[in-house]
Amino acid sequence: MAAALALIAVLGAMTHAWGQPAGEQEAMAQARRAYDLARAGRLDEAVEALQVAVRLAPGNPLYRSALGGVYEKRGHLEQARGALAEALRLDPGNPQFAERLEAVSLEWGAQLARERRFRAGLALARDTAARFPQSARAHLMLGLFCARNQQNVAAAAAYRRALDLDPESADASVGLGIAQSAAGMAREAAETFEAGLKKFPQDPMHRQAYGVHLVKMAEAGSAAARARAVEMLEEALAMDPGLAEAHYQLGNLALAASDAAAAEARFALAARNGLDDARLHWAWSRALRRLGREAEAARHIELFRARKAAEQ
Amino acid sequence: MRAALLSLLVAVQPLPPLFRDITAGAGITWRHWNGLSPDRFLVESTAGGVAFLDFDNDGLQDLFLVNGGETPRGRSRLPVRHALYRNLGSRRFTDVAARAGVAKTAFYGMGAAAADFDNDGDTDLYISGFPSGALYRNNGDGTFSDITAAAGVANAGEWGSSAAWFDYDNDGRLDLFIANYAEFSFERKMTCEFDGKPAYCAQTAYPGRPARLYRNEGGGRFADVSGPSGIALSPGRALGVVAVDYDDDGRQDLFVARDASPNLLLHNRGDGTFEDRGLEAEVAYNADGVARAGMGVDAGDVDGDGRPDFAVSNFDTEYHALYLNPGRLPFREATVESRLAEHSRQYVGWGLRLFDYDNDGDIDLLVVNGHLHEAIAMSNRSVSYREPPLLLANDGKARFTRIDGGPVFRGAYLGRGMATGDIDNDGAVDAAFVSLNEAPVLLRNEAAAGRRWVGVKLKGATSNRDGIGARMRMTVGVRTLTRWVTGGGSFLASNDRRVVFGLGGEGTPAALEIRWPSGRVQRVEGLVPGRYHEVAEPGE
Repeated sequence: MAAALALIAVLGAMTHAWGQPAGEQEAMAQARRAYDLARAGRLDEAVEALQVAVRLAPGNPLYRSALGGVYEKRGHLEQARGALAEALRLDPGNPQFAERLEAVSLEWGAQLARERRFRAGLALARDTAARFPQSARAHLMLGLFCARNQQNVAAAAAYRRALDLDPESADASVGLGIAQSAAGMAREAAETFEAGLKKFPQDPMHRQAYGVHLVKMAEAGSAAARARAVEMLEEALAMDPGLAEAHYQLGNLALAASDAAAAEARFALAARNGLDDARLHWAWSRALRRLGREAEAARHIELFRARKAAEQ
Repeated sequence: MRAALLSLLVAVQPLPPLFRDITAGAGITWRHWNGLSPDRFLVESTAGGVAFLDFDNDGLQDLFLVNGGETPRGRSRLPVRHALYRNLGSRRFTDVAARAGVAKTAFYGMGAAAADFDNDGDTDLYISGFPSGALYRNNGDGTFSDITAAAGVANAGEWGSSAAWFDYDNDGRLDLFIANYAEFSFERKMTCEFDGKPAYCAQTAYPGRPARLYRNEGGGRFADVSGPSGIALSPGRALGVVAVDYDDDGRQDLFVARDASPNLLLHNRGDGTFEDRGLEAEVAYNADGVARAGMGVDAGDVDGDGRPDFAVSNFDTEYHALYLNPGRLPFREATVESRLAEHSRQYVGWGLRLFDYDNDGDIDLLVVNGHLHEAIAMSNRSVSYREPPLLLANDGKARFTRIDGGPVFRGAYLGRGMATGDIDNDGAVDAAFVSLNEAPVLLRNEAAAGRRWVGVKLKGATSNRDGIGARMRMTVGVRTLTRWVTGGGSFLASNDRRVVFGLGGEGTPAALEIRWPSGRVQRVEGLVPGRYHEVAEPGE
């Protein structure tokens, strides 16, 4: 926001040939008014003033950039992104516009992910990655949305690009392994995770994600994968005992091995560390039934139903 | 040296197929049409029914093939019609559907369920579909009459999928269960894309519908008892159904496979109502509490303990599932231990049958597969659009080994409905399946050649004429083989009702014990191997 206000402030000190000369003065006046309104917290009115400025001087990228800034302040990230994209189109070489556009795009993407609007997110991510081909974070976002849209091969390619651009990104490395696993590229996934273990030896997320991948491999018949999965998940928990997913996965492995007591303990730990979704309560209820704790099992079935309904 | 050369020669000679594709040689020229169009109506992706039935009572299994239909922009160059291939013997068939009066596709066709619902000795035929179904009564002269309206079984407005005949109230008359899928309309387009290309929208975009149960009132009339029976209490996207008495209480229960809706285990309370025990049985969801994409389902004694177990075909990466029945709830999911997960990970399964393909006494598994999404390889490199069928041999301990059954099992299909039936009465159970928009595949079983077997065809008296719901036990050597005459089973399919007991190398069969749906227990002695025996239920 500070950047947006500063931008509006400098407008008054600048003389440009953008826009129609007849409208430029009025546009400038609207921009100054917008600056005052924004400083007073009257953001809706500031937007209106800047929209007038944009209409009066459609070729001036500064008004659009300022408009983007005020939109961002209001939390209207989609509109902010649109205004900033227009500013950059009018002044393609402006590094500040590019920087703001990338930042707002990533922020908008994060919001879309939180809202589970994955198709919209994928369109945004594709556009962002195309605009900023050297941005690891843009490719990270593309990987995320490709994966959420079941385009796992494309997700793996995006994460690979992100990792190439930023070899120090543990997120890109983990994302790549997960995407490869989902894309049926089991060998490549294992190689990615093994490389990640060496590159990021203190990162528990690599071990947790590798453990989940190995659980899948174990289901498909690999006994060695099961043992390695347990090893990875336990190592992840040794680094970070608060990893709920690792507790959950170990609980399900214990349940599959008919060790209901160990499973129940793991599910309790997963819950204590914040996991509260349908699958946890389903698995927990199954463990409790096997332990003869029917009343508790019934309570978790009810929680399972409630969470399931909410998730759907 | 000569011996070495001979063994080398033997080694390089291709082995004869266990299942031979005899479709063309049998004279089957029909092709399926699903109305594929840029609109990608979901109904296109789930069609293709098939039934084995002996409609003319000549002792030979005939083959009925259900066509889909046209969609608003998916027109066929040829007339879209069903086929009824009469078995001429010597593995030759001829299409008599038009003459029999069952060629017409009055609605978008899905599945078939054949049974003698009126106990007159002729096999009748129900065809499910959208937005209705049809009941054809067998006139006994090679023709059928459409009695849908008079019978009251149109299932109007619904997208009917698999259907099953079974006698839920043990009154000797077969009732009709229809697995309804989802809300659907050709007027309401739901277009989705995958990588910029038209694709089917996820099934979850289509709200599931309740199933329907029609009670056979006799006289060719049925009453819709979906509400009072409790069947309608659990709406969901149902695709497969098998009727079997899972808890051996003498009443027919239902296992309903559903697509991203929890599977149902509908326990028959014996008072005209059903209670869903899917959650309690732990068949509703997978270990993560996720409802898988259940398509086909079948029942059979996989682990040889005398109780019916269940296999369900699912989506890729979900694994086709095996639920072992320990005689109490919950069932034990043995998908991983049985190696079914390993064998099915990359496949989308549909038609699925538990039967003893090699007559060694163990219940094996045949599954046909095929994906929905042409661009699936963009999502998962280990999955393809067209997929091979799976032939899985049981080692007797509920562990499966994948068998190369011949070229078809190395091929790639868009498999959907699949049924089993012994077309040449040699005791080796054959199979047929529909592949979307292609010729069907008729597979002759050559795997059981030389193996000893006993076939049983039941003829009910107090019980329904087909004996659906009967449990049979045969002791062979040290083993007791338990089999059921099930209702439904597989996907969009109807199977040869006769039961084949594979004897393996274990000697002469001892007495056969039959528990009829009426509750009567009958013992039959002196069954000669190598042929079918018709066993009639004793009268009152």
